[in-house]
Amino acid sequence: MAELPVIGVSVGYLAALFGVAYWAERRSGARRSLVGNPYIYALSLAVYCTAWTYYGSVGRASQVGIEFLAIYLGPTLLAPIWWLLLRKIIRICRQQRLTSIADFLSARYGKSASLGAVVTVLCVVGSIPYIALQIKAIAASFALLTQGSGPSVLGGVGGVALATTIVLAFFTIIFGVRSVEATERHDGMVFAVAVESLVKLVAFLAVGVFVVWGLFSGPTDIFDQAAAVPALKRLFTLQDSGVTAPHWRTLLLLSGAAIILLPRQFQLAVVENTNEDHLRKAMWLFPLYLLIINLFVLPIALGGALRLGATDADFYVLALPLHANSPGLALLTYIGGLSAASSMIIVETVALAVMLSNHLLMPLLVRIPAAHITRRPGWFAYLSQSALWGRRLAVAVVLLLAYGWYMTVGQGLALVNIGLVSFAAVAQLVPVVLGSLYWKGGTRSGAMAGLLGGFLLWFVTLVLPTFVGPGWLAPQVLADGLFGLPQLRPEALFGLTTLDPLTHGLFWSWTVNILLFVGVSLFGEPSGDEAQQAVAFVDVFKGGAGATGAAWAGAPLPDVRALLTGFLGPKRTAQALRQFSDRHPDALTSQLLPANATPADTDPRLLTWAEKLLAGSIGPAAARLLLASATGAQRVTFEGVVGALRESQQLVEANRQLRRQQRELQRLTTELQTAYHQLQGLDQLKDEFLSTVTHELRTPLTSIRALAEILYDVPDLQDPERSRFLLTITRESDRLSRLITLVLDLEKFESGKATLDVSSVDMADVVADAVAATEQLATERQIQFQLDTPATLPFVPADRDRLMQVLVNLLSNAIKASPTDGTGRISVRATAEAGQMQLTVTDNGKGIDPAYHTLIFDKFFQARNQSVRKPEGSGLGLAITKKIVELHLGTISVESAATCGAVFRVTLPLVSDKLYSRP
Amino acid sequence: MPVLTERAAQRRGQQLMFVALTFAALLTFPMLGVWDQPARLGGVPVLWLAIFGSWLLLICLTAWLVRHPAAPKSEAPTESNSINPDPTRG
Repeated sequence: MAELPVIGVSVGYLAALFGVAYWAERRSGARRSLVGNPYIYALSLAVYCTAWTYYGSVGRASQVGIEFLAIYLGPTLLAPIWWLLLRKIIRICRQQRLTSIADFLSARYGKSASLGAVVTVLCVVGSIPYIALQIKAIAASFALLTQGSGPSVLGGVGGVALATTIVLAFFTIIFGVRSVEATERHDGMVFAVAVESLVKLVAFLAVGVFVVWGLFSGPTDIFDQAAAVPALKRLFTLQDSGVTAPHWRTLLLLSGAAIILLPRQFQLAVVENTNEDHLRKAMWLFPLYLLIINLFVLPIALGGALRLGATDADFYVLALPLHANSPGLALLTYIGGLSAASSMIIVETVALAVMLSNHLLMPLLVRIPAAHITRRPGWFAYLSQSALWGRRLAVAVVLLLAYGWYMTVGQGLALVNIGLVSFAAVAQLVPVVLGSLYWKGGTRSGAMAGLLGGFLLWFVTLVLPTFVGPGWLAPQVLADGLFGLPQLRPEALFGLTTLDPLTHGLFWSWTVNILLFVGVSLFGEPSGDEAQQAVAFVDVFKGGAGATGAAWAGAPLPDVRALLTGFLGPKRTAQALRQFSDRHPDALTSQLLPANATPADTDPRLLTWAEKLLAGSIGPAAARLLLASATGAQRVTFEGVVGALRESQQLVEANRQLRRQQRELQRLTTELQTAYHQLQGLDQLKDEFLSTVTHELRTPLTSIRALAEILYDVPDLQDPERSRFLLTITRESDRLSRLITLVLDLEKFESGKATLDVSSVDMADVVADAVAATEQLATERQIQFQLDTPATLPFVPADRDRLMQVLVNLLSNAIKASPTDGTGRISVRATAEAGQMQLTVTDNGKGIDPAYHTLIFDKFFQARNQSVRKPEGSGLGLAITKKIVELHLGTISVESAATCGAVFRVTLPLVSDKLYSRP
Repeated sequence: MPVLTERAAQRRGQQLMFVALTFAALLTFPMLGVWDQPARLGGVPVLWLAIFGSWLLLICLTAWLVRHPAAPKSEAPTESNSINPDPTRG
């Protein structure tokens, strides 16, 4: 086929695509978007199927059979969990306005500019061979199609490759980097890619049908014929094709990682996604697309081998129609291949250009301080233009690098091998990306160390060996190892020879990558920004993420407005500010009107809003730097806020402790004062007690001594007189000893040393005994007892002797108070009710002034107040009585008026376990 | 179209995960070794049939599991949706 028509068709096809894209963009501008539906979304994801799939799969299948399917099974196996994984990434990117995988990782680890730069370099370096592969495919297919049509206008395959590069650079720029505003969505490009996906599918199916039913009579025929050739029959199984289980697994892992992390896949699946719900259909439509496009790969490979023999198997797809003299089908096939390659190149290059501009160029540019405040708007517009031109330049640079790589290294390599090296490069992002989605402990240093380590190992194990071909590396390095060290053989590090090169490379790079990422993260501490972003990423579905609160402060509104206008243009700026004020009606609404813009500080939420808007254009790290440098806004760091909070909290805590100690001190002082007063009172009581006791002791002693002196001085005292004196001495001695006994008893009770010998006591019995003991005294004074102690009274738990003492005390007290003229009556009454024994001793004597009703139970009360009642007695009787009753857990009280007798009432509990358990 | 409640959506996530893991086991060694033999069925190698069969089954299962949209609650409006590109762009 002649060259010129093919060139015409190629350029015409691309131009038609551009027309389609332009139309789609117009439609989406008019709010009738063609892109906002799941079918376009799923088809655009099929950019995954590049020239590698289109041409390379057949080549691969003719060498190692069904192994090529692993590259499509990996994404298929991952597709069901897109709903969990990809949706999370989409949600995060939307909330934070992230537009590339480098944005994503840079934002996750504290909006780090350096991490973004590393990811960008990794992606660019990893993708360049892959783009070169597409250039190679276009150039080689063009050469094949125009074979034998005379001398080449373009100067052979190299010339075709260069022309392809230039044409595609032009189309990429007008497809993806055309807009004056560097925005993130490219509806036209997405639609064009979807159309190309359809074209390549139709073209490939056409070839498949043509081969299976045109050249052969159905699949059975092809397989039968192939089964007859041993070299082809071995392709029917994996083990005969030499595919090992680790290799198969490696391919699944690599392709599973690639479907999300390849820059172009990330661009289309995440950035260009218009609605998360589109994922639902894409989750099964995309695997279905993969299944359909792979149906005919093996039959074509077998058919090619049967019909064409040892031709370059990578181009059986094109060679078979040519061989069968079907130029129309061959041209369609060529267009299909062009679709596959060009869609990949356009999307990949746009994605890389955005990354290069946002992570290498803009962070440098925004560091240049604006010269003067009046020149700022111009500077911002200049920055915006720089971003755009930076991207255009990046497109050209990336494509030229790819061309260079193809010319020097790539010509000798099979398509698939080139692609797998690229897959392994982006696979280095897997640990860090998964960590950023599900692990809050990852740090910037950890991510950086993991990526650099993995990248280095990837380079050594997978890229270095490809340098042998162009002669950049002496072949003996592969055999003897780097620097002559046999441990550093690139394809057998540390003597690990059991794995195939790809698995070997992935194993070492992932091991180092994961260990460094996790290890360095665990031994470091995430900064405040990182911790905040970790929550925003990991908990993105729990809501509340993205609202970062007062993260910015101190920028005047006009500056922010100027900054936004420079980047977004006045129209979009006004629109964005209006949307902001709709969302936050409370945030300085009046300030948003240009007329009365005041130099007051802008609402912090507006600054955060502006940062996100800018991030969409120039990347998160650059947006942060720009906002800080251009408007003078201060970032209120998380650490700063936490530090201030912590300090004030410490102050509050110290204050609280001081107050607590003060209160404690006050309480202690009060207690001390109370104790001091009690002590003083007790001391006084003791003094009184001592003086009373000595006084009481002295009275009988004095009389004893006087009588004894008389007896001594008057030897001839008459007998009756002597007897009387001696009797008195005896009685006084008795009184003295009784008094001492009482004092000792009292001391015993007061010190708590007294014990009770508790038994069940018959109250009537005790009363009778007590009456008998005091009967003599009563009879002397002509006093009569009245007893009312029924025999049915229950027994009381008590110490019988002590209870006796109580009764005797009360009776003798009553006797002493009663009149001696024969009218004296004392009644003793005992009743039991409500679990209590009540004992009353009633007399009709002098009575007790109510003012003294409690005082009479004090020690020596009567001794001090001789006038009241009871001129006789020690004054200890009632005090001891009270102590005994209280020891029995009972109570004693008195009711009386001054002249009409007194009633002493004793209440004792009938049941008391406590009593028994007392010592 | 019926939508899923929050809880059913969570359950669906687990079902999808289960499907992915099951087919990952089916389509890797040693399980894949069951089909990895030179026999043919209707002329077509059994390994080829097994892989494409599982593949189709996986697609059908996934499509069946995600037939309902999630509850609108989890489809929270996002900021990007609210800033539409300038209509005059392009």
